[in-house]
Amino acid sequence: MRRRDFLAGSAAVATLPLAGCDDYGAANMPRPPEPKAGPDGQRLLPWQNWSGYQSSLPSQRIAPETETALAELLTSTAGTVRPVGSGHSFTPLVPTDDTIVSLRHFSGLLEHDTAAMTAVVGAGTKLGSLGAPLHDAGQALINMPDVDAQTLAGSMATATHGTGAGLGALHTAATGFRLVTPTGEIIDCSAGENPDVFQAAQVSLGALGVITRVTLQNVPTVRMKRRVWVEDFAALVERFDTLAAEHHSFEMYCVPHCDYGIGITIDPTDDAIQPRGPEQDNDAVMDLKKLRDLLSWFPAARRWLLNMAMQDYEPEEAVDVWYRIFPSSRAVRFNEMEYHLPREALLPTLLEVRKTLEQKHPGVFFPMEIRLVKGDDAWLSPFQGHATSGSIAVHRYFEEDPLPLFRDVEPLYQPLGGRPHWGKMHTLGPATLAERYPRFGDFVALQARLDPDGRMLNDYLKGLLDHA
Amino acid sequence: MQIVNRLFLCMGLALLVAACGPSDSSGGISPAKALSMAPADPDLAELYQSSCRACHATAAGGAPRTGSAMAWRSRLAKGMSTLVDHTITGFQGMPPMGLCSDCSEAELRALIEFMATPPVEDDA
Repeated sequence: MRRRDFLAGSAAVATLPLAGCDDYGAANMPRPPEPKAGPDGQRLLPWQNWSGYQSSLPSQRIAPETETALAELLTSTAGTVRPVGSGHSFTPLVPTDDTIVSLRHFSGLLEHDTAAMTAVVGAGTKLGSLGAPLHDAGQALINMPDVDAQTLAGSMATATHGTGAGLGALHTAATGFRLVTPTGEIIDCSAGENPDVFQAAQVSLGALGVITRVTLQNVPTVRMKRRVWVEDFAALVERFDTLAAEHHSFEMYCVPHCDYGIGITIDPTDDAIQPRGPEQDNDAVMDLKKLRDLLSWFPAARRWLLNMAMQDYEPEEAVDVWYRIFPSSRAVRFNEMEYHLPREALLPTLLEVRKTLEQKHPGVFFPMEIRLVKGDDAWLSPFQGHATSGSIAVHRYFEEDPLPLFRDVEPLYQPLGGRPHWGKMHTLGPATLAERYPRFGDFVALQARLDPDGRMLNDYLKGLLDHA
Repeated sequence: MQIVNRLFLCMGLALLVAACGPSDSSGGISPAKALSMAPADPDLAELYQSSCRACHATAAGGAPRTGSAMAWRSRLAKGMSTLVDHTITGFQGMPPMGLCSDCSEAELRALIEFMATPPVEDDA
């Protein structure tokens, strides 16, 4: 450590109590609606998303048990109706004070075809509940995200994805949907049946109606090896393209205020089972927070300590069935912004984002996540038209105001034509979205055809789709 | 990855960190036993399976482990109405409504009571 840094740190010790008082914008965070009594005298329960940032006070929470009951609900209930999954989106796709519809009863593996390697799955099935029955049927999802709390319908509606240069987002595995429209029609769609509805329903924002079942094109169940290691950040960036080309799945984490990054590869293997063991990522993130809390006044010491901690980290390896390898526990809540970029812009932009984050927002301790997604042709897919997209995600602890960070990072993506993850915070409106999605107008027109009274649109979606 | 804790130990800051750490969230019951538990009522079991089990059966992120009297004692001491309120609005790592968008207040209360109750063989 340089003497100048040490002296600066010593002088700053006196400010420690003040540093400990920084709430990082917690006072700006939105609060859930005040409770009030419903018509039956019971208190209405607020709906909030996973992070608690989005909320509403719906007058009805309904979990229909059949498609007929769902169709009757859609045609007989007044006001806005929004389908809800796990609430894992950070954008206000769900909030309404009218009716939210749970797909809890549209869940599970409904049927499968071993020869075709397809499966029909209830749209309300949580990804974490899908692995075991698919594996028992000899099948595997083509890819999985690292969070498995989402429902299948919710994850496809927002173009949720995993990572891998040759692996598409979840919706690319869908070959058919059943949709109950706001006018009570029950429509099956696929590439050969109602193909325009199918291409819109792949990434639908939950705006076309309520999807009740999904047909998935899967692959044979497989054992995977996951390797996690720490490497000098600059070297990891230098090797990024090679690692992405050589591995089935590759992602990188960039730890703020640290000269090391984390690489994760996942590849098919015949090796013996070696389970992942207890999840430690949540403790690690909270350790990063503690370090931030203790040393935010002394950035050089924070970096030095992090570098010391990271440099002798022993690589981890695990081998298991696919659905026990891809997901990780993400129990430390956060808000997130993620943009998808042309592949060639990924690494230069990452360096700019890292610089902005470290220089202007030293309070951020969550690692950035850098992933790759194979392109596709769904109308609202953020990967549409790309051979491979590069994705950068930044996170802010759920009790701390994310907007200052997001306001500084989001402009970096705009000259590149970046497309936001539909479930993650962004500020783009319909004019910009129409420029970046060639079929945006087609989606808006189809939405209006299926939902002529705009029943599926809350205030956010009316603005997003220019139906205000 | 207990990266930073290792360093804190080296730097003599372990006491500071320990003071900030979560209380024991998993004691008194084996992980395998917690994973095997489910409410007897099939409707409640479905809610537990789809919303609570992933975190509470594994004590992920400091969630009090299902069936662990030790982990739930300090929570129950706050009173059931406080626990239900925390469940509704979210509290620390606990997401609002425990990710159950259509649970009623009575169902949330029943789920808490199930998770906070040790299995019979552990009562002795």
